[in-house]
Formats: sequence, structure tokens, C-alpha cells
Amino acid sequence: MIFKKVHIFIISAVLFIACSREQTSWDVNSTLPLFQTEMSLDNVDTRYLKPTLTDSSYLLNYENLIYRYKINDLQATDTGIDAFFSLRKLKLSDRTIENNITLGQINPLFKILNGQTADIPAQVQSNLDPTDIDASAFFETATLDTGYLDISITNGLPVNISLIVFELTNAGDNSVVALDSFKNINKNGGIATKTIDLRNKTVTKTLKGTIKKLITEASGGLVLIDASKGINVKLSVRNLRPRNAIAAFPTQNVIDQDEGLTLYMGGAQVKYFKVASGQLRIKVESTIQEDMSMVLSLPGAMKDGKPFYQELKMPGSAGNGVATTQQIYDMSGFLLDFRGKDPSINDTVNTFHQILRVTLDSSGRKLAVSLKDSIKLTYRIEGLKPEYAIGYLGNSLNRTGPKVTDFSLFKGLDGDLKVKDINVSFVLRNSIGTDGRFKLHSLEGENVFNSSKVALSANPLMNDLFVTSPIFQRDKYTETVVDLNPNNSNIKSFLENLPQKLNYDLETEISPNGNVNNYKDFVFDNSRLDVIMRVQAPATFAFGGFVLRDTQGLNLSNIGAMERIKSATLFLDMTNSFPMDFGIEVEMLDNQYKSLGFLNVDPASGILAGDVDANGYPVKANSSMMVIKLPREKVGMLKTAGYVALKMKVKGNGKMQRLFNTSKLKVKSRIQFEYEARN
Amino acid sequence: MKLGIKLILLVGFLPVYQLIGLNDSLGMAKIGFPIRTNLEPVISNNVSMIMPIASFDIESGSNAVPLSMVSKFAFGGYISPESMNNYQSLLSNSNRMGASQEYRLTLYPIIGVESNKNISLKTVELLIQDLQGANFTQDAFRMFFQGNTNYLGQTLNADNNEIESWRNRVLRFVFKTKSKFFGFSVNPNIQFGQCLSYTRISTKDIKLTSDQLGDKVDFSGSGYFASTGYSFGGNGYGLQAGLDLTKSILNTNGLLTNIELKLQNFGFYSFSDVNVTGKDAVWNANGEGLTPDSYQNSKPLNLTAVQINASDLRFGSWFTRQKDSIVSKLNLVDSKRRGMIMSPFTIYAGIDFRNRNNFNSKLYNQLISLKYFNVIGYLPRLNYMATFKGKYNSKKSNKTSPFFYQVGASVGGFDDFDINCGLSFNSFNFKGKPLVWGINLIGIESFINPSKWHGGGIGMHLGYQIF
Repeated sequence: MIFKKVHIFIISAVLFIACSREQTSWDVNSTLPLFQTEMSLDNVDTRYLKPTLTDSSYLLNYENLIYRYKINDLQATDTGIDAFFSLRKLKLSDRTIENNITLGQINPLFKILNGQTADIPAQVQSNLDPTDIDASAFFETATLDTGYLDISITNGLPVNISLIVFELTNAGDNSVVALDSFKNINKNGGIATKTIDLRNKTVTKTLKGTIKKLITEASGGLVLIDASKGINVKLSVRNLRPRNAIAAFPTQNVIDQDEGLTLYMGGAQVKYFKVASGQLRIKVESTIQEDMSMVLSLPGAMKDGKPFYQELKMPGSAGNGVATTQQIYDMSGFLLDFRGKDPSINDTVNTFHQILRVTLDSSGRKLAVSLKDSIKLTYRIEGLKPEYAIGYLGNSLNRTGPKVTDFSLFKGLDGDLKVKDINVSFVLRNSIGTDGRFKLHSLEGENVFNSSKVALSANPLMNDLFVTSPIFQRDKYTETVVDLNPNNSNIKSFLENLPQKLNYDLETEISPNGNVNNYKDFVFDNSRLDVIMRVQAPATFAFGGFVLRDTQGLNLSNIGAMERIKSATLFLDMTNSFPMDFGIEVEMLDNQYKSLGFLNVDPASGILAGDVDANGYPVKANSSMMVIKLPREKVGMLKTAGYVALKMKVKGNGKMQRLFNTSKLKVKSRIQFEYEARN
Repeated sequence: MKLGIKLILLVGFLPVYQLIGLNDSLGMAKIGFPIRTNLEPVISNNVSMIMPIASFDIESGSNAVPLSMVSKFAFGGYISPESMNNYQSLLSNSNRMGASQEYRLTLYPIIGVESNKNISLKTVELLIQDLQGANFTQDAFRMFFQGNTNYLGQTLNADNNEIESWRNRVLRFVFKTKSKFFGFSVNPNIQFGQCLSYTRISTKDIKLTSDQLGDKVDFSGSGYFASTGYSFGGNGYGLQAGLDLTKSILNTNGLLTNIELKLQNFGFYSFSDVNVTGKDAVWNANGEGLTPDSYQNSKPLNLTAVQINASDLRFGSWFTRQKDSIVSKLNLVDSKRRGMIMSPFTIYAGIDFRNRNNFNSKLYNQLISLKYFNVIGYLPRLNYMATFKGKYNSKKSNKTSPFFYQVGASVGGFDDFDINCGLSFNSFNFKGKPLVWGINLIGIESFINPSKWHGGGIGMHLGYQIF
């Protein structure tokens, strides 16, 4: 027993030992080149910083979007037609068959007298032998929801018929299809007609016609006996709507629409609609075994000079299945005339003319159909978005604020910066094809570093500003410009506060005067009204303790195995020809922007300025090797860092300095890191 | 002290020895038990039979890397950059290194049962084997274990290197037969192996040149890395066989000679899912085979600073960009492959002799053996071991008990040479029969100065004297 226990223990111990080997680890110290780049003010978007033609210095040209108004997405609500077509709407052909009951069949005695003259007395005959009538031209069999049978009896006898009672039965079960009396039919061609309602009646292809009673008058003298003549029975079916049938269906239109289809455009009244995207989806589900064809025409939808026209063949179902045909047409690029079916008669809005015709194509085969059979057609316009639309866009008033937006010109800047000859404009840039009104209720600049706020006070902005419609062309716009200067505003103090945030409260109105353009407003998909603050100044600055800040997201997760990096050193070989020194601080922040500590940057004196001549023009670059260290004791910061805050301190000489596009800061870097390898 | 507790203490030593990094050599030539060292139960010629219960053997060595480092690879642990620098200074252009561990437990029967059948199942054993072996150059060592920072302005000619690693779980069935083959007793065995992890690294013409500052790094060469990773359920299954031939010759002058020839672990492992990453390796297109057919011309990788636009100068993206660039230029190709590999087998030949008539001699016997282990980095190992007999007074039983100690030397194996020693004695009685345990050390010079000398090893064995 004790041995068993020992045995189990040994097994456990051996397995444990076998699985518990510690990993071997060591440090690999590698040096790799990283990146090289060259920074100059040319890297700044030329919309903001344009080189001057005179001396390669720069003109600062900055626009900050304060607010953007777009008409709520003008989009046609998905619209369509769902048609359910049952057998009740299927028609069978109108057909006629004729059948003769000869005098010989009525009374065999007349066969003997055939060709002779005789004086025929009045006669009464009952239950004559039935005559077979082949009605296969109608159908195999049909139970009718509606329909009529016209029985027309022509009297070919040489005597008048006082009464004929005619019965029509199905040969199979002798069920009565029709039983009616025809009176006073003149001899030698007189006709009497009766209409039988076939509702709820079943009719087969094999019928029997029986003269139940025949009363003829006397001839009143000698008449020629012609045994081949007699009574002609003509059966005509019409307006047949079967409940179920085995029949050959004729070619017939299942759906035939020619009308306007109105879309809801969210309040806009659109006359023309150029489709940027959207589709027309047609789906047909049919249990009928006949093939069908569809014609869809949109006379008011034009592309490349041609209207939209599509023909579609839809095969019938096989057996008891359902045949589904779906077709999706891309509508992008079509210009839709939304004025309706016939603008010359009724010029409307948001309505396009559509012709849809679905035809059942007869194959001549006799097919079984019943009320369970159906044709379902779904026709739908989906996701119709305009490239542009023309019409009346409606009057809309929109108040926005108080809200906050970034003012990127001074993003990350702090300290002392003086700008020479600055010009500021308030610009309303409108690319919406209608008139508009703008009202600025308030605008306040905020420096987030020192929490200083300065409200803009500007006389030209106290009243409503009106914008006009641009010409009808994509990307064209009108500008309403209000210049701000120290004489009409406090713009100087507003900007010297170096705001990074703007708090605003404003109001915009579209078509303030209603439909004054008589449905000629327009809007493109990118049309908007932008409220912009534009700053223009020569790039001549005085720097004194000026700080450029930037905070960048730090995603080191894709490097992988970060926890194994034990230390890292970034070497930056900097060659600077700007006329100012740069000092660098690198601070690691967690995901809540809390400081995790600073990285060691050496030398603390930073990047040396380049040499310039008496005019401030760069003549010689100076090199500095910046070493940013992440020692072992700080490497843990990388694991929790979510952001890195970079502060570049610009140290000028305190005087106004011009910047030239020949000034560059070249950077060449390599990294040395200790990495814990494991086996 | 109860027997169970004693065993617990004994087995408890095993992880301790692991942690302190002691190694063994030995393999088949271990000397843990009196008379002869064997993996299977044997009938000794002094008419006592020792049935192994459990054993633990470690062997490590290198012709260049000292024991203190090899033990880290064998047992794990952190190697400081200073130690790594010292190690690399000891290397030559061509170096070997390796280690093996084997845990063995006899599942059935613990106490051997003699049978008169022509062939009978002797024991069923569970073994866990860890094997690592490498042939490598000094510059490869520098490149992979130190990085290039210490070698800026130099070229590291890592050249060709081969590394392999196994972890296997084996269930072995040992049979005893009454057959004779040229007078040798025949004891075959068959085993079912399960490879828990397998790794193979091979490089060809690897070269790394870094300029003085590290602004330019050139890398060339080709190779592949194949690995199953570790999986508890195993990835490869194999079948192996072995054969143990023993023969005893007693001369009229009393000289008893025992000869043993052994083939162990001979067979294959079949892998169905091996992750292979190759650089410039040309593989069989059907996914069969775990070694490349050839290598195509390797394109050198010239690594310089990535030219980026200032607008792309995002902190944190630099490293990723360069890393992506390196990965792209390396043109590493990953694939899944399958194939069979010959198992790491052992061939052993040993002869021991003693004079039975000389009862008073302290020299009990002498063993000369030659062993080959089919693992990268292992050379045929020639071993000599002399066993001496001693006595000690047991206070508990108040009687004199014998013990055996061994001294010897060997050349080859993972190592250049080793000085070895061992001790075994019967200590614990269980149902009137002694439990026999032994310990042997291989490469004791390395234990004395592990930073200078190379391999070392330790073996611990527990057995039961049946009769």
C-alpha cells in the first residue's frame, strides 16, 4: 500500500519536474538605423505658408474652420411598388366553337325523305340523343371564378322552332354546365342567343350538348327536306378568370403601369436629381410555369443622352417551385427629371415617370394553375443620393452653440510670440446654391495653457451677414469677407492670447426669403457653408521663450513583446540651419494624460542654431547629436504610455527674424536597445 | 524515518540540482549502481538483481562554453551581459554545445518478476527526455546572444550553424528473452514516443556587418527555423526500438568480464504540423519534408535609415516602420510542413571486468565504454571508470554495510573531457531487501570551476535489490 502511494508520488514529481524548466534569458544589445528626414517650412501646407517670390521668405496664410454647415443629407427615401398578382387576374382566351345537330340526328325519318318535299307537321320531341362537343380549344379543364358562355342557336330547319331546351354537360361526370330555353327561332337561319354565367362552374374539354325538348311548328305546306341541315350550336366563352385550370394561357400583361412615382425628399422640393449613388432593385417571384418578360422604362432618367430602359426575361418556375429573378440596376450617373409624368400638363416635384410592364409569355403549353399560384413583383428605388439636386431646398434655420472648436494656428504654442503686420478676416464661404444668412452671437478665444479667455468684439460682426449663391458648378463658392483690424475690433488682443480653443454661438439660415429663385436652388453633395477665420502675415517672428507643443498618441502594441525591451537610446543626428536653437523635452503620458516622467535628453542645451548673415539668411548649418535615453528604470513607462508630449523650445535672439525656405533641419536617427531574448 | 518520507526527500533533491545547474554526463555509461550501470534491470553476477525504480540523468557539455552557461541553457535562468561577454571570449571558430535530461520512472513492475517464458515483459517505463544540441560559430554566438552594438564597425561571420531541441515523452516496454546471440543475452525493447516540442534551426553563410555608428547594417545568408512549439498533447508521434546484448565471461582465474552492447531509442518521429520559417530556402512543393531541398541565392539585406517625409514623423511609428522594412527585406517565408525525423538514438558498447578471486582488493571493477548519441554537438564518448568497494558502520542497525565509489575520466560527448566520480550504497531496507541509490557526477572539474571548464552532469538513481 505504502509503495503504491510512493509510486504515485514519484509519478507526480517526475511529471512536475519535467514541466517546470525555467526559461533561459539574456540581453541582446542591438543598434539599428531608424529614419532620416529633412524638415523645412516647405513641409508646411502651402495653403498656410507660401514662399514669397521676392526673397524666398514666407507669407503665413492660415485659415481655421470655425463652423461648417451642410444641408442635412438630401436623400430620397426608399420608394417602390410591391405588386402581388394572383391567378384571379390571369385571363384565358376568348374562344368559340360550333357544333351542328342535323335534321337526320333529330329524327332519322328525315334521312329517308332527304331531297324530297313534304308537309311537316308540328312536332314535339324530347331528350334527343346527346351530341359530343369538343371544347379542348378552351382548356383542358377549368373551374371558373368568373366567365361567360354565350350559346347561340341557329335554326337551319325549314320550320320555325317554338321552343328548344338545350343542355350542356361535362362528359365525364354529366354535371350540368348550362341549361336554357330558346324560343321562337325562325326557320332557315333564325338565331337565338343566351348567355350563361359560368361563375363557380367547372368546365371540361369534353362536353355533351343535349336537346332536352324541341317544339317545331308545322311547315304549312311542302318544304324541301335537307337531312344535313339542322340546328347549329355556337359556344363562345369570354372573360374567363379561372380559379384553377389546366389550360394554355395566352400572352397577357400582368402588370402595366405608366405613371409617376413620388419620392419623399425630406422637405425639399426637387425638380432635377443627379444620382451620385443608388440602385433600382427588381425582384420577381413566380410560381407559374410560364416565362415572363419585363420592360422597365424611365423616360425622365437620362444618362449619356439615353433614357433608362431595361428588358428582363424571367424564366418560369419548374414544377411546384418558385422562380425568383432579381435584377439590380445601378442608377449612379442618371439625371432624374422629377417634374412628373408629363411636365407640360402637370409640372410637379419629387416625382419621376416610370413605365413598368410585366408580360406572361405564352408557350402554348397547357399548364396547371390554381389560386395558390402567384406572381410577386417588388420594385424599389434604394439609397438614392444626389450628386446634385435642383429645386427649392426649403427654408431652414439652424442655431449652433455654445460649442467649442480647435484653433490650430496656435495649437501647442505658449510663451512670447509677436507677429508683424497681421491681417485677420472673417470669411463666410458658401457653396450651397441658395441665399443664406449668418449671425454670430459670440466668439471667445481660450488659451488652454494659462486658461486665459478673450471674447472677440467686432462691430462688423454684430449684424446679420448675408451670403449669396455661387454659380451652378461643383466646388464653386462665394465668399463674404469681413476684415477685422484694431480699429473695428479687439482682434489684436484676441490673437495675442494665443488661443487654442474657440467657443462660439452662431446661427445660419438657408433661403431666408423663401422660394425666391423659383425652384432654381441647387446643392451638390459637398456643398456647405464654412465659417472661417483667416490669418495672413509675413513670416517674420520674434521668438522669446517660445514653445511648440505636440502630444501624439503612442501605440507601441504593434512592436510586440514590449515588456522585453530593457532599455533604449535614440540617437538623433541633427543638422540645423534655422537661425534659432531648439531645446527638446519628451514627456511620457498615460492614457489619462497623466505624466509618467520625462526621458533623459542630452545635451540639455539642445540643437544649435545655424549661422546666418546680416540679413538673417542661413549660411551654415550646425550639427548636434541629441541622445534621448530610456534607461532600464524608466522602460516601464513604455508599457503604460498612451501619449508622448513633445515640447520644442524655440530660442530666438529676441529680434524680428525672417524665415527662409533654405533653412532646414536634417535628422538622421538610429536606435540602440537592449532586448531580453528568451529560450 | 519512514520509507516514503525518505523517498520524498530523495526525489526532492531533483529540482534542487536543477536550480543549481549541476549536470551529468553519462547517458548509457552511468555508474550509479554497483557492478554495472544499466538502464534495464540486470542480474548481476554476484547473484543479486537490481530493479531500477526511478532515475534522473543530466548531461551537458561543450568544447568551448563553460558549465555555468550551459547549465543556464539546460535549466534556465538569466545570463548577464557581462557573463555573456566572458563566454564569447572563450569560443573558437567552431563550437559545440549540448545538454540532455532524462527522467525515468518504472511503472511496471516496481519489483521485477522473473519468468520462465522465452520472452517476458520485464518493465514498463515512462521517460521524459529533453535534448538540446548545437554546432555554432563564435560570431553566431555574438550575433544572437549579444547583438551588434558591441561589434559596431565589424563584420560578424556567423556562417553555418545547426541547432536542435527535443522534448519527448516515451512509454517503453522492455522485454527479456531466453534467446542467445553469439552467447549474448538478448533483451529487446520497443517504445512509443510522443514529441512534445521540436525545434530545428539551420543557417548558411550568415554574415552581419555594422558600420561604426550603426547607421548602416548589412545582413546576408540563408537558413530556416522549424518548430512545433510546445503542446501538452504533443505534435509528433513515433515508434522506436532498442536492443540490449549482454554477456558475462568468467575465466578460470576468477576474472569476470561483462560485455554490453546497446542500441536505444532507434526509430522515428512523424510530424504532421510543423511551422517552418525559411529565408531563401527551397522546399518540396507538396509540403513533405522538414529540411529544404536547397537554398537559392540569398539577397543581402542592406539596412539604412528609412527615408520618411517630415509629415510622417510620428513618434512611435519609426521603430515600426523600420521593423516592417526589415521583415519585408528579409523575405521570410512561413509555411506548414510535415515529415519524419529519425529519433535521437544511442549506441553504446561497454566492457567491465573484475577479479572475483581477489576479495580483499578495494578495486571492485573497471569499466571501459564507448557511446554515440545522435544529437547535434555530440561526439563519440570514450569513458573509463573504476569502482571501489568500501564499508561504513550503520549506527542505526549497528552493523557494517558496503558501499561503492567510482572515479574515472572520459573524452568526447558534448564535452572535450570529463573527470567523473560516483557513489552508491544500500541504505534503506524494504521488506528485508535493500533500496539502492546512487549519485554520480560527471565533469567534476566543471563543478569546481564552472566559469572555466565546460560540461558537467549528474545522475541520481533509485533501485531495489530483488534478490
